[in-house]
Amino acid sequence: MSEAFNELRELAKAVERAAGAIALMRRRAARHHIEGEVPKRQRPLLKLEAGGTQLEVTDKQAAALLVVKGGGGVEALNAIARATGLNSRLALGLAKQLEQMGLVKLVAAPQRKVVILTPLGWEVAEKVEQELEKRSSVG
Amino acid sequence: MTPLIVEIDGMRFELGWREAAALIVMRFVGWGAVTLSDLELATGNYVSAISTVARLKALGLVNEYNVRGFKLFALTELGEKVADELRRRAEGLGLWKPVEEALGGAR
Repeated sequence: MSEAFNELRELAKAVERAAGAIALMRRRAARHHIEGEVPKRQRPLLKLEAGGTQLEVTDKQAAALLVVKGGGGVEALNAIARATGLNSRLALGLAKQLEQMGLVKLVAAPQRKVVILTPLGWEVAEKVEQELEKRSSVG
Repeated sequence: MTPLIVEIDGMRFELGWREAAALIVMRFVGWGAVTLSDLELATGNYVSAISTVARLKALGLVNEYNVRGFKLFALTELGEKVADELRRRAEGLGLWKPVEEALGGAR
């Protein structure tokens, strides 16, 4: 049997198995699907400069960044939900908002979601932490 | 067994059908990351999923995110390119239809 034929057979098998898995995964995903919604009740907490731009960070964004930083830069979305008191839909919206700001990367499968700080997000989280420590020592 | 040989960005990858299937699933399922149990569906069983993902990680095609006892796997940029090349090749050979059908015509 020629090498080309064997390679074709491998590719055909790969595609067939992938197609079966995709079909099943998409059926299962329908049970887990949620749309993110940005939380409406967010209070501006502080303004800071990071990555050469001015950023305004809300209380919920700050909490989420600190939770992810506390996890070493990677944290499950449901840990953010717990820390901020948001349901999973709002926590997902918050994570997407942070992703649009370039502060986190959201790695999401339907049943599991992970939030990862970007270098800019790490810098912002550190500044938020310092600012909150300063405020608590003054207060 | 003859491996699938894919050359991308001057690098040569020799893939078995399990690795190719995992890459196709991760690239085209419609979301950014998969779990180990998702990879089991593509590769056949737990042991194959573990060894497949270990090899894909070693090749720089997949990133692993491990958080509080669960793992998510996502393609690297290079992994996306290899998956796209597998698709291109499968389409050229008229093999891609099952994936299109699985996606319900979404792609």
